[in-house]
Amino acid sequence: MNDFEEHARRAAADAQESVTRLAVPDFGDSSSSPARRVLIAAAVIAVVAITGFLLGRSADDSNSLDVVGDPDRPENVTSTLEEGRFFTFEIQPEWTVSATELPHETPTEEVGVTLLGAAAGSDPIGDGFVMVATVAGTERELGPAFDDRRVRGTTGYVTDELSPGSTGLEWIEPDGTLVQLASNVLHTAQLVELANSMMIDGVEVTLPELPDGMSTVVDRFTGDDLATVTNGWRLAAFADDQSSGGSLTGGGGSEAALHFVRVIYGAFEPIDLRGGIGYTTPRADAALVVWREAGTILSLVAPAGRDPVEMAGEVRPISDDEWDALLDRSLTDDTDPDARGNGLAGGDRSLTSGAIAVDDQNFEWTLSERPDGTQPSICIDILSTTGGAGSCVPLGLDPGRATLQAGVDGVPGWVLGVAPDQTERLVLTTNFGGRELPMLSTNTGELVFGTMLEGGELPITLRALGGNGTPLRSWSSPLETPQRDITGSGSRRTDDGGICYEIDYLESVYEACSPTGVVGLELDGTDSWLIAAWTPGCTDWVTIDGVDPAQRVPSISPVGLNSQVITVVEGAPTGMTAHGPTGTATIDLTDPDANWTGDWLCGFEQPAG
Amino acid sequence: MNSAAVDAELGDDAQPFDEWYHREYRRVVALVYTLAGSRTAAEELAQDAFLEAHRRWGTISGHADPGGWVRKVAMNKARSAFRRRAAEARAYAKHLGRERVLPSEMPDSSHEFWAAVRELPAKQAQVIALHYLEDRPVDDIANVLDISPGTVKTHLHRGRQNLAVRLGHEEERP
Repeated sequence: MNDFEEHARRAAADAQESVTRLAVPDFGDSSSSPARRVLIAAAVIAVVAITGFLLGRSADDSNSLDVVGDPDRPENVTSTLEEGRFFTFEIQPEWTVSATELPHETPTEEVGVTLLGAAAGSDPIGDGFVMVATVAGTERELGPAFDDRRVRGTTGYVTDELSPGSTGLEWIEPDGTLVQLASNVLHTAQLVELANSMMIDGVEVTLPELPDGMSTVVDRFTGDDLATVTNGWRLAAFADDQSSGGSLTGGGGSEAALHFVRVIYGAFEPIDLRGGIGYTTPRADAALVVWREAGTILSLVAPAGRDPVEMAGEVRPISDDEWDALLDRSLTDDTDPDARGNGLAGGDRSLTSGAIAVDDQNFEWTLSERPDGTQPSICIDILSTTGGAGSCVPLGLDPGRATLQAGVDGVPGWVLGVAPDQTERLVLTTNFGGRELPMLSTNTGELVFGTMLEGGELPITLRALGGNGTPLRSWSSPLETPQRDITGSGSRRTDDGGICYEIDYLESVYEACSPTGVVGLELDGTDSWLIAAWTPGCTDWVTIDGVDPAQRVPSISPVGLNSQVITVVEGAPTGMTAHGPTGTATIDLTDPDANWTGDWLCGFEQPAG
Repeated sequence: MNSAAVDAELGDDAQPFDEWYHREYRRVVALVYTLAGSRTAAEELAQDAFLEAHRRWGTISGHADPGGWVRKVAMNKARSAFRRRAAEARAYAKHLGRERVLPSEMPDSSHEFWAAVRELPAKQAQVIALHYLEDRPVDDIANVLDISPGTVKTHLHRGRQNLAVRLGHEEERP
């Protein structure tokens, strides 16, 4: 047995040993855990996740992600609730509070939802429901499933994730349409029978015969209807030591939307609320209440540690100014190092790319490639047990704004970009967690950021560029934490005219000196290079040979007569061109003696070197 | 319906849920522990998986390998960052209040090994865990993960190679 096998076997034995004295709990203990309410509180976001799933993800530049929180704001109260206004709960001084407007989604896929119900009194789904949802051409993977069944000539997957406490069945039609069928009164065999009887044409579903006692509640809820319900939802969330939760309000509060949301949450129990009827989830630990307000507003509250009905009764109208004030605050708990990046955070309201937020326990924003993989994008996703929602902003349409190279299978990726003006704080979050990114001011007032994504081990070779690519130092280190910031601080000129560049990377500051001040981190095995360079003063941006000239790399941190750039490129760079107000300067990175040559970029100063 | 009632309803031929649950619980916790990195979270996730198994015991008990089913569900839960974090959060809330750091349950070298496993691509990590922790043969792993035996071998080979490098061992020899 070699060392590795011995290590593996020992680790396996230790893992087994670690549970030998573990008490086997009486079955069912977990279902009564009070802490489960925390999860339910998170469901305040799930409706967006689910509808987002149904809608697919879109690239809508009008999206804005506004973020924040205000632990000091005592309350949000106005005297009247005007139609179209949103409202929130009374905010206690001791709470950490945040608020955000969830992204707008433009349907990119054709979607249809039909809801059947067995009425009980005035509640059209009081005695049960059947929901059929269709999404054209989805690329979603089905499962995990608890069982499978033969459905309409293909495999259908049995799941309970379509509606809490209900049985679900999902499958893909031959034309690629995803069909989801859920009911709280039909069992799996009946769902299969119903599925086999359906006529499906694209996302149009016709049921030749409705299940006994059922009538149509929502004939066909389309993607546009879903967008109306969810676009611009306003989320206010709070947390303290004893409780947490939030409210979510949106303007598309039709009767159909209400029942759709009830199904999504499993909120079937009617209650008297705010002079009307609300619906709560049936279990005591499922603290969620949903209702319509003022005829147009759909609202949910989902607290843990507080009475949801009481909280729903206490929500108050909020004016636009109050909402704006709530958005203008940050909520990260700086006193808790483990909570860095938790809570909602992000950029300003004009943000069109790359804001970012994460909630402590139950949902998060993440940065990733665009799902269709056709174009690098920054995506803002909400993750939940039931799916994800968010928006993707294609990169490259606005050159120099951001560059993303996503990591795959342990290979790190990079994200670099320019934050919107006025951004005070930028938090980037991946599945590994969130953290605030440092931003560097450029000489044109832009805010630039860069960081490494994903974990894994990657051999890195530090090379001096413009010095024939001479290796300066090589190392290989595991990334024990998934993100590393690249900073360009601490650069200096050497006595012999060279330039040393400090790179804060892998928990150490590496100094790379080269005759020209152009250094590269060669990410071995990826054909990618991180370039850090001193450039002539007044450089606005650089272009890199072999890279699309439209991909301008903004300069950062002007120091004296020089500027700096940081970027990632595919392949070893062979040359760079610095662009300034009055001209350009170039450097041949394949020439050992190369230096910057060309125009004066400032109109009054010779290019550096 | 409680587990005894489930067992009673299933009749004599069915495998009793309670017996199966008590036999499998710790093993599933250990498996999830290695993949999720937190034993507390692993307990929560394993309980969730067994809860699902309990609800479907009428079907699952007839499977050739109910243990494979519950492992697949548990591993899927562990694979989801959201679920892993959520389970951890509620486990901490239940057991430790706001405290977030638990001491390792294993010696450092073993902790290091499983930490490296968790950095592998998900399928590689699952194959490694099922192979070493549970000593399952390739065909068994293929059934649990619903992939071909050839794919299992590929994941196992690549996983070993990656781990050997990450852990500073000699390149893995066949």
